[in-house]
Amino acid sequence: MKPTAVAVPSSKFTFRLRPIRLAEFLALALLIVAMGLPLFFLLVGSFNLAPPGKAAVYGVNNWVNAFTDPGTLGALWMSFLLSVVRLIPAMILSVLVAWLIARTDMPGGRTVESFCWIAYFVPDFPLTLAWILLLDPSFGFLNTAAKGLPFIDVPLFNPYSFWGIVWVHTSTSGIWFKVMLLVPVFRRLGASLEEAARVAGANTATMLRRITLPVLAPMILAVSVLSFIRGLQSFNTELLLGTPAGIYVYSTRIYDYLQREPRAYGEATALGSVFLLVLGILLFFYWKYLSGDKKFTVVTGQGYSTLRVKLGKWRYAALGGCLLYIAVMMILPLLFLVIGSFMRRYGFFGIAAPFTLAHWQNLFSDPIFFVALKNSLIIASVTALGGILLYSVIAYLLVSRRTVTKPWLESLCWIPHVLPGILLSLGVLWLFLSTPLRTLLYGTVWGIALALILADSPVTTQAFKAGLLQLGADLEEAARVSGASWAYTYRRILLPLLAPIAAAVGLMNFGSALTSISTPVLLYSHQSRPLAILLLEYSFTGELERAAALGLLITVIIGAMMIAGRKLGLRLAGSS
Amino acid sequence: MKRIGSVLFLILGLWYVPAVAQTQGSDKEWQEALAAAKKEGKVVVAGSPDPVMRNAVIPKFTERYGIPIEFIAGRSSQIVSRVQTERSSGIYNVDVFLAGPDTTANELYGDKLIDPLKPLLILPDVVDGSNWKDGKVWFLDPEERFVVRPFSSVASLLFINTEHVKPEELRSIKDLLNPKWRGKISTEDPTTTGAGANMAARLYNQVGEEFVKNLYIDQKPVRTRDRRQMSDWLARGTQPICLNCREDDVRPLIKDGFRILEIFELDGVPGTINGSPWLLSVANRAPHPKAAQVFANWILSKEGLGIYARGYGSATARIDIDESYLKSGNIPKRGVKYFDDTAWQWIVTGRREYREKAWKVLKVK
Amino acid sequence: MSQAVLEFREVSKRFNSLNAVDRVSFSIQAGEIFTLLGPSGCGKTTTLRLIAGLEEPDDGEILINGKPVAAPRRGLVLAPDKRQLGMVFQSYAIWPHLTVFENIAFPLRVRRETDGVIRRRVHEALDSVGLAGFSERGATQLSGGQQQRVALARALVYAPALLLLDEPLSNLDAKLREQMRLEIRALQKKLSLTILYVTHDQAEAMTLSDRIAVVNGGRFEQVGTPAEVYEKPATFFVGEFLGRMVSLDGTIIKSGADLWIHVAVADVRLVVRGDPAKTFQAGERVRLICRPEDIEILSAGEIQQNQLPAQIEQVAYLGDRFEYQVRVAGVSFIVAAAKKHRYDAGTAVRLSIDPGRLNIRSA
Repeated sequence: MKPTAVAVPSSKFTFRLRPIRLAEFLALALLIVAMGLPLFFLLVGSFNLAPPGKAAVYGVNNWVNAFTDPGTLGALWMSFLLSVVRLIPAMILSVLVAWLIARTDMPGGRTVESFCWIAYFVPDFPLTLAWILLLDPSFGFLNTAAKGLPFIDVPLFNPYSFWGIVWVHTSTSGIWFKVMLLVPVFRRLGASLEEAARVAGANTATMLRRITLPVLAPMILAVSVLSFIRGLQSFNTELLLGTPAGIYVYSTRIYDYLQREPRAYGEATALGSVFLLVLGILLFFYWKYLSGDKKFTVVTGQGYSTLRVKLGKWRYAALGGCLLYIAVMMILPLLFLVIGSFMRRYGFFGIAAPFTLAHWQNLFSDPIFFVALKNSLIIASVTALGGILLYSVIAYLLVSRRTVTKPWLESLCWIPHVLPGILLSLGVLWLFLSTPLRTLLYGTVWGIALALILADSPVTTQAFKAGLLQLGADLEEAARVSGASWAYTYRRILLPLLAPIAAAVGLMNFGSALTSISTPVLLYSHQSRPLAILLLEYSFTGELERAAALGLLITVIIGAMMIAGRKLGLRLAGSS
Repeated sequence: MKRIGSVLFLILGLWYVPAVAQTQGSDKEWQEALAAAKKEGKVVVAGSPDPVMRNAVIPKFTERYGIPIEFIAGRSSQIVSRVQTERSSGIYNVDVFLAGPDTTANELYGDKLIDPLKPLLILPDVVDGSNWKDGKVWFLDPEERFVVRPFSSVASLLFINTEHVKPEELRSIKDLLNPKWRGKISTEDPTTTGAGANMAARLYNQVGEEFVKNLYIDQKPVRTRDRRQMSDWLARGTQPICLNCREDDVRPLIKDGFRILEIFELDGVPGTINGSPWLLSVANRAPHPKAAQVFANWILSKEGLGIYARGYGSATARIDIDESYLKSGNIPKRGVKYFDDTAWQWIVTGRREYREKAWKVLKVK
Repeated sequence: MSQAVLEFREVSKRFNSLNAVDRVSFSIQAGEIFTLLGPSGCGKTTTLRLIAGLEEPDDGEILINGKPVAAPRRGLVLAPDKRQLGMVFQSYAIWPHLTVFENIAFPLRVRRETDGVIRRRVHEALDSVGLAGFSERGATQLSGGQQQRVALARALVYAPALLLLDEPLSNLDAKLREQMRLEIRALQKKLSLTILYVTHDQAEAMTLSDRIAVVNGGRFEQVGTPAEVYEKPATFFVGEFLGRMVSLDGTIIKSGADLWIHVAVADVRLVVRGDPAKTFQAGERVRLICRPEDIEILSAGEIQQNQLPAQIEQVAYLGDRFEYQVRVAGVSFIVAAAKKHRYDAGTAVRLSIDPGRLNIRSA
């Protein structure tokens, strides 16, 4: 290489408001409008004492009513208890499984991971019914089977109980979601850290405890917070199993206010605000103890780690454990769900000719079905792609040390996670109707997709954030110094490096867009009705078998997308 | 050609039926309305998600008039909150409401979301009073102009599985308090608004506070929020007495050979009629007013109402609809004084008062 | 004087309350290797990042080739990609999803060079770092040393105005480090590169640099050639950072061409050369600083300037020489001496300090 003329900096100056700062303020403005405004509408609305449709009268009565209701505190405590009791073992197990999949030579890790993905999207309502079929004290399969054993003459299991709810939740939500989020994070962890620990004389357990877990603490904590709040809001299982046992939880109380006539949105919002408070407290601690971005940067500039912990003969035991969990927690009820969709009446084996194809035929012959399928696919694709583009940028802003409005951005991103879905939907509805774009947004697939993108914000942002934090800033800065603009760097460096996470997140959003009910319920119209709403209508009218068939079909679509998405993500990542 | 033929046939048929003199004018009006409705292109109906609507009513109406129906399905409360929010932003989407009594009386009527329906009824088959049991179309609202009640059938009191409960064991309402039935009765959760609470309010009103207390607390009935759960329990006999099961859920069980008996009356509690499944009203500022008018007329006609009544299993207020497929207990008997669960005053104030009283007993605020 | 490639004018950068860079001014001339040397956390990397545009200064002005690239007072900050710099990161920051070729081609692609030009220049760059034939490797299949060369090639490939090297050798083993040091020097000569080099390794700084800036607490303690900063450390910190130091406290008795200074027990007349600008008043407390190799143990009867009485505390035999731990006025330090004499522990001796190498400073 010959010495060439020395380049000089171009004399065109850019001023303080550079693209990145501009992006920050644009993102902030967007989040304020999209997340802040609906919340603001809801909070203002919660002080409105007039019945819907009447001139507003403001006061605190809704809040007083909601919190002086004798059942409220008990329900809150029950929710908390249920949420914590199932979070702790599920979290420990999830971390273990994610580590086994990503960092060890356990055979079949990919399969286990894929299964977690599919399991997450199996609708919880039919799955809970499957568990009732298995565990009911008088006719449950497992109870009947257990009676054949000696010394057992009372029913072993009772799903209509505290532990019944915990158990069924371990099946419906359990570890799936957490493993999904944690595996990519574990994969990106620089192997050298673990190797250094091993060389320093730590055995596997010590290494996990002293190195791996602390390094991954922010993500593990974020996943815990997400799951905890999700747990507080979970609903279907509590409704089906809790009501007969007299167990009432917080989310069912909110639901009650929303179903009441006239609807008590004020009281519901007041109760919902407790989630905001919980979030506020958690965020406070998160920032206080884990805010150092640099503290947890694990530079992987030297490449992805391919070295894995050797488990020796334990690798088959580990796989066996994973498969057993999957078999008991998912295959077993899923089997009942599949069978149920072919039964004339779900779970009734004793009737004449119990099996039929009629529900599947009815499903495909429903003229609304194909319209809804098309709508759902459009909505889910737009949601997945839009979410990737929007939240990878926002996550970038959140990890960039130069972002000045970080706490605001981060808090706004969390809002959709803490608002009960139907309240968020209501807020977004008000938002859509108050913009000039309402003809484009209201009642169309685009509006539903936008609302779903908003609803996806916490999980998506956290996933990208974790990925970016572990990538470290060097790879990006190297590109900037090499002369690439931010946009070019984002496109050529960041996005490809984030491709595995982007593919995972996109897929997750695709799946939740297909299954979400509460977000589109106030926003759809006849032309834009998605499959999930059809599922709601089927279960509302008691057509459980057709609902099961549709739920399975949605799961199959997601499974197919997952395989395609994984291939695409791996190709983008450029690794084999 | 075929479609026009069938329309002509319908019109001719109608022409023939009663008061010939009046029909001339009405027919012209109807033809004009129909032409305008076709120009509007569609009609938007909001109601509860309902297989009858989806599988029978919509295809038939579209086939008859070539006007597609857009059906917005959801819980009444959700639909109303959508409509109100839309309206506050100047969006008027819905033409016709098929909603439950609470929503219709307290919100659609109370908040003035609907137009007078009476002047819109022009189909001779509908306006002719002799087609109706009461001698006229049954308007429910105090002004008798807005809300039509096309159905009136005897409401079931409870369902029993006769393999576990002999009908003789339940003669009087007080027989429910037999300790034998402790834990064997299922009810929709009475502590929140809905059928469970409505039943508790009705029993409070008709039998008394002490009975409500004995039944809902001492008898330890099993509560649920899921319709399907109750009918499954009924069929399996785990809870062979069901207070809030629905006729359309139980019908397939009976078809499958389960011994289930619908009980309409017991000693000590008067028989009750209601307007289930819906009341009819048309939205004001409807985007497709003529199509709304056509749909409203048709759904009250012998054909429209007949399809719905048959699909749902409910007696109507018309005289010319075949009721042979209904259970005899379903059809109100002439001369019997029934308690009317869909009476205007009861919906607007009475039920709410008694519900509050019942909740006080159940220790719910 | 020719146009400075880089110039800092009173540049400051704070992180919260910490002054990472505190009113620093300096300039780098074309063709020199300028090294920022200091302990970790001293602000040297921040200085580098300020130049690259990865941080924004709070105050002052940064010019590259005479053009301001950051001047917060005027609201001017040029983005990193507009500064025409090359940079090698400590972690190398090789993009794992691109091949070696694409890694190096990146800066050229950004500049929209044609494919032909890109191919030619990438191969030239690969040749110059000794990686010919590696172009289609995946970037992650390289050893540490190879990655370092790729990073270097990437930074060089478009002939940047200034090459920034952030501890580029710290991740390599000692032998490779020495080899790369020589190669960088050779490359710099061949391509007439201007390099800003950041390191905490003084040996690296001494062998590689044309000039060194010793950085501490966000300030430049001293800027000079390797010999200047070693021989004439402007501060005790500089001296200490570059090697062993001896420091003695004293009081001026008489000021003049020569200084009379009272050091602990004895009044000694010390001759201090250099720094005539600095004058001291009688009675002023001062600190005497020198390197141990500038102190000689006088044999009996030998007379030298700047004599100090001392006591031998310990003796160590190193084969080629003795090392004595001596004590002067309550301060112990180590002095090496040739093998011709051997003093036992406890012996009283006289030391002599080379007047040309003795620094005196206000205490």
